[in-house]
Amino acid sequence: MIEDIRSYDLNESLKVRLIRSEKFKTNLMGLFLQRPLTEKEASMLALISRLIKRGTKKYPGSKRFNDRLEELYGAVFSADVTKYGESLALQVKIQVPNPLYVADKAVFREALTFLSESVFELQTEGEGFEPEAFEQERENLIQEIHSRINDKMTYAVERCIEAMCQDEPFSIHQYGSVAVIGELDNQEVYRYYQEILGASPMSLIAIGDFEWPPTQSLIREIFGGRGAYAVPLSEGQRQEVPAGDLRTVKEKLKVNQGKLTLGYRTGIRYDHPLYEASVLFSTILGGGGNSKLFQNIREKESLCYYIFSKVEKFKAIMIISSGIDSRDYQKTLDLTLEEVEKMKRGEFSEEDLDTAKEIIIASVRSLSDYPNSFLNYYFSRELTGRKYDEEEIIQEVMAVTREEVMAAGGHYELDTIHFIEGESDHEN
Amino acid sequence: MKIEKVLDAHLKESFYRVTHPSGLDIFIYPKAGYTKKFAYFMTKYGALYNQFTNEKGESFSLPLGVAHFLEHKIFEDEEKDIFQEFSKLGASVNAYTNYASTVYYFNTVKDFEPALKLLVDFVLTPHLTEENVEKEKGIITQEIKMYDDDPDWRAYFNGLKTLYQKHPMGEDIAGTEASVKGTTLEDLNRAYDHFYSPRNMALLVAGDVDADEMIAYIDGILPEAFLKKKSSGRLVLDEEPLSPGSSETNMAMGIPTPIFNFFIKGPGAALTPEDYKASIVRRIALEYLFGKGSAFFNTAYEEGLLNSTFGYEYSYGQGYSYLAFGGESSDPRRMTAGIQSTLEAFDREGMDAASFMRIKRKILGRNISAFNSIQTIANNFIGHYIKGVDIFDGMKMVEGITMEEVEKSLGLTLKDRTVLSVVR
Repeated sequence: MIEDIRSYDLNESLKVRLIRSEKFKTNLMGLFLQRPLTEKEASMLALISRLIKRGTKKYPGSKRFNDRLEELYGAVFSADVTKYGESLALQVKIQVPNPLYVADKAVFREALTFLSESVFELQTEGEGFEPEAFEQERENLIQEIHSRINDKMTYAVERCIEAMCQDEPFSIHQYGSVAVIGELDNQEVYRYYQEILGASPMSLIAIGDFEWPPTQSLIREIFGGRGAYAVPLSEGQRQEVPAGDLRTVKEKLKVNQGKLTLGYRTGIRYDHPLYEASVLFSTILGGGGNSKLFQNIREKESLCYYIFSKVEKFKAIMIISSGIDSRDYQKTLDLTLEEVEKMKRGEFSEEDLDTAKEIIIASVRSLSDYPNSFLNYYFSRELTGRKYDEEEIIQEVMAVTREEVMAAGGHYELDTIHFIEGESDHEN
Repeated sequence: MKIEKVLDAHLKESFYRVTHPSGLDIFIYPKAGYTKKFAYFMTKYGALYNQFTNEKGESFSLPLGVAHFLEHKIFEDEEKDIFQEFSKLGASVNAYTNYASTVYYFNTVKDFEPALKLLVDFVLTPHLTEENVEKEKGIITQEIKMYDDDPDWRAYFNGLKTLYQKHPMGEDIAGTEASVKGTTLEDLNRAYDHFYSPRNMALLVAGDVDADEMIAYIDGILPEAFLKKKSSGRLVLDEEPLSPGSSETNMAMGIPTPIFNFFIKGPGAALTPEDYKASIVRRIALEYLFGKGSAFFNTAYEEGLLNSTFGYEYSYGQGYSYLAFGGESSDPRRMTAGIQSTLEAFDREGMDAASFMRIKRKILGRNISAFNSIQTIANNFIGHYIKGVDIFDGMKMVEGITMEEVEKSLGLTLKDRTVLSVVR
């Protein structure tokens, strides 16, 4: 249950959103800074997000920085970069217990102050970041990008998208690239950060059990001087391409389980009239234990442990992801394609559609049970240019007809088949 | 039925503990203002229980992974699909198996009571046949292979395999491809008959519910045949030597940065409140020595020896206890040397009062935050239940723990009890 939401602009670049919900034991605050998606900006922002945790002017060095978080009742702090279609957001968040439950009543004020300082008053040396920290975080980030391969399920999906969108900005990873990160110059990144701090759209979103007037004046006191003027992000970045000739990409890795990933062009993203229908199409097809893919590929054929489909909100694509025995590649591919075709032909029942609606509605209704999910959803909803209104969102889902789901499916075209093949399978 | 309200006045949290005449434990955890409601139906039967005896004195030895296999098959029903039945109610169902328990659960934003009845019915009405047992083997094999490709998982479980020579902590929860192939309908039935009985099971409901109504409803849906069931199994553990099988294990997976796990084996523990308190004391020590604010972490981080993947834990249960440290590191040997010398220095030098207070604050704060999410509450609730304590006990204990207790808590760091597991 969300009791109330206050929205106002603190200045030209900083929007404030205060979401009050009495049920939570914590206050969670997040600062979001939006940038366009380019390889260079992604690389720089990712590195900055890591440098943020290396210390502020007041708490220099990672030890003092982390000690401070422990003093704030083990405040949970995160700084990361997320991709929304063709744009990026630097997200810095802090969560502390509500002062109601701890002895030190200043914890909320102190956490807000810490959040502000971690973004606006990083530890610096001359006209750059502390040089040792810069080099270490550069190395760590490169290592982290290389280690993406450790999580095969996510890696397979990312590789499919990279192959499918190779000529579009969307193929850029939210952490940029090893090549660019390797070349970044400390002073250059520092100057870039100073520039964007004064010239990017920012949102401060807080969720918890707090009183309006004192919280608003606290935010004015702490963030009043932050941000300056916002240059709106150009929409020109957006790029959707139709499916070209079907591309099949095979990669060999030392794995026990093959990963089959299919990338579809849907022509439908959040601002398309058929967006909700498209989400429902994907939910009936591969959204959980009752879906067509799960029922047929897993339960009936025993071909996999996991298989699912999902549509991207900010990019007109759908991904189907599964983990299989490499020897079952052709069989799984054929059966999966057949399930998509059956869906397009309308071979699903009213009950399937109702069930899919229930699933979506349950997830919308329960968003407000999770502070961090709600914060993220709220931010992404605003990126679509629309206000958060739970009943309106549910009405839009309820109103979708069977014909619209089929119409959405009619836009779907298979673009890329990506397969990670287990080397060891060939020894059998 | 005995109903007792357990309250934490400071946190403003409470739950109801119901002792049912059948032996089934029922817990209602009301959480006002939340949209989703949850139910967890669990048996104290997990991957440890390959060998057990019953009250008639019969002994059984079942294939590895039977508890997990059974978890998969409980969802079987020839007439209806369990996943779809829950979906129709707008509910989402799942299950997991760990070493000490198997847990079936669902959540929903509406029609909670019919979904709860469905949960109770499908767990208590198995539909196992030779044919559907065979069919599941392909799915479980793919699940095992998925985990086999996860280097973090491999580094951890390779280490446990080496750490334990006899104790089933050394075996994968899902068993092996071979043990799954060799599992029969009879094995599964045998496990089910012994462990899916009232005195071995518990039901937890959490969410915006009325406790009295919920207790009455649950009492009405429990099948008579189940309530009469008296069977139970008792875990049999072979004597486990204090030393590991060897001190090192390595695996090549072609990953960019080595992943290591370093284990220190402790003596066999039990599921008592004393063991639980000892675990909290050790957690304070570990947070101080190895947490993000520790001298160890920050020095090693700045030297490039570890990164933010670094983690540590004290784990214990029936017949085992160990400390584990792990993450990505370019030089696992230097890491283990550093961990050991940090532990040795702690034995000599102890800690300072300011750090002790800071770590206590951290643990209190994290504990408070854990009451934000019903899922977290439920998982913690079950974890505490299995360990013989309740979810509010940890916080109460932290207040009373002294610095001296913490300083003496890690004296289990004998050099010949360590295992270094590395995946490259």
